[in-house]
Amino acid sequence: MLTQYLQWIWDVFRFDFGTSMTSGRQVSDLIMERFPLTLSLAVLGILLSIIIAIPLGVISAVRRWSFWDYLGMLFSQAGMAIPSFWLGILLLLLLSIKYRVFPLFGSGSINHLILPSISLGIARAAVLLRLTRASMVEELSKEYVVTARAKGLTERMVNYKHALKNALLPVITIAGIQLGYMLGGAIIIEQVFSLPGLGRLFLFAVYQRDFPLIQGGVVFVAFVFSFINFAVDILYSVLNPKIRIT
Amino acid sequence: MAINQDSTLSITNNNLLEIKNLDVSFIQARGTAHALRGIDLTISSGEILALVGESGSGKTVTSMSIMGLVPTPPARFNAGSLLFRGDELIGRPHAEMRKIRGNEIAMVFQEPAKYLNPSLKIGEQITEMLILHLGMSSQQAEEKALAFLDVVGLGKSRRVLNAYPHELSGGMKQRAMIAMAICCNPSLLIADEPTTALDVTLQLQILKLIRNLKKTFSMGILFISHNLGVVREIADRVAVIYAGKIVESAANKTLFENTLHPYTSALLQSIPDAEKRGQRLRAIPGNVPDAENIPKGCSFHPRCALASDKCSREIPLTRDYGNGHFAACHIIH
Repeated sequence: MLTQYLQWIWDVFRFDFGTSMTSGRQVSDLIMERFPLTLSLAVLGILLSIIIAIPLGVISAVRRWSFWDYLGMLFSQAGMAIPSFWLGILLLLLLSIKYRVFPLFGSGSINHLILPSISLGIARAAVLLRLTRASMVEELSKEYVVTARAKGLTERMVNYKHALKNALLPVITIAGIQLGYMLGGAIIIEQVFSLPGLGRLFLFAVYQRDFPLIQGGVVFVAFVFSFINFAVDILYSVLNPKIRIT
Repeated sequence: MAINQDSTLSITNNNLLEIKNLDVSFIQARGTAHALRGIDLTISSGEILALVGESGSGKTVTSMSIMGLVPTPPARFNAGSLLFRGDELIGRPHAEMRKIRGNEIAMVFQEPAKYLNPSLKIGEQITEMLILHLGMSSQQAEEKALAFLDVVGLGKSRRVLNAYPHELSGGMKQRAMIAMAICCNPSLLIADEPTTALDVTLQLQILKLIRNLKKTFSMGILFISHNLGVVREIADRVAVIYAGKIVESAANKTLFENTLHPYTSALLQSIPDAEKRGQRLRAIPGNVPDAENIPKGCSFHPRCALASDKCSREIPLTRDYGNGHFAACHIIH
């Protein structure tokens, strides 16, 4: 038993997760084959959500209770309430079937990734928007903002140079964690858009009781997740001068 | 330097800042808070005026009003004027006030650790003002910033310029903040309890620095404090504020040696002092009234040991007791 386990760990270090029981291929090959798609989907999704969430969150915080704030709140409530698979199906119906702007299924080009990353990104954007708004509101109430105004800086400088820089720290942490989750594969979205990503790979592995593949998948996802968190920590120390690696 | 000027002289005497009958209230859901009830203050160039009072007495509203940083609403300017070099500040467009802030009227705050931006370098926080107000290039601004770090006693240190606030000690932070405030050569400096958050040894150094600034740049300085001990060290003139009204004002020496108002004497008795060693420290009973319900008559009467019937009925007028010594109290003769 113990020897078996040690042997398995040793193999893991050499990126050898054994052979898949159903396809007979190397688990590592199967994973690496699917990973690029999941990676690009996750990165696109998180980029999209950041592009939506941060500007809208900042505007909401700066002009509290304005039209933009209500729009932002409406968006984030809707984004959190709408299940991403339903959004995905709607997008497919509208843009792939009715207007044929994007392909219905398949993979291989950026066009195949746009709709899935929108469906994935909207829900993440909703969360990030709330967070950005809350964080920005908090920073704007800090004392250094009074100083910045007392220095005669323009409101733009006060908001975007002084407050935003501090407000982004928690947002980046959460965005990083979300990226980590998305790299584990998005089972439902991959299913809706028939994308061969990690999520579906692991789902079928579970269906078929393909233990080596499941084990390999779990280890791989855990590794990726910790790596992303590590990367976020590094980024954090660049942005936050109080945390400097010495 | 005792400043002996009567009220007719002070108008012709080119006051840097003249606050006349300033009356400000805050309209809130739970009632109107009457923060300033008609205060008069004048500051001339090269003079340190100390504004003394307990927390909640209206010191901060006064300084924020001068800076044009009191948001209206919730605040409302009921009456009075703020003349800076003879020009009215109240009601100026935001864009104009912004150009005055930091440039002609600058401010130093109480807790440098909180009032400096934690994620911008000290140099950046100084140079951004020079670039904005004086239109300097970033190289010029950096040289100028170094020069001002030297003025405040930090030396021409590039290390400080490139440091983040948390990398500096409390005293250094306050010096950096002062450098930031004076870098555009303001003619009026508002120092809001600049030494309160510092160790006693550092307090003295910062006070010396502020006194030097007054001399070197002939700035007018509004020094806000609740600490009469500190005020005695630094001020040329002192004004004591209570519940949004100036109750007594005089030249430093006059105020401390010939105290008129019972509130001022009560404040003086509450300072720990080597001469009074062994005696009980006398705190003033009660609290500063809420600005939402200020007592009728003299606002100090509920806490005043000498109060009479008249004090609870009529608001005392401010009277001139000679040599620029003003007080508002019924019982002084």
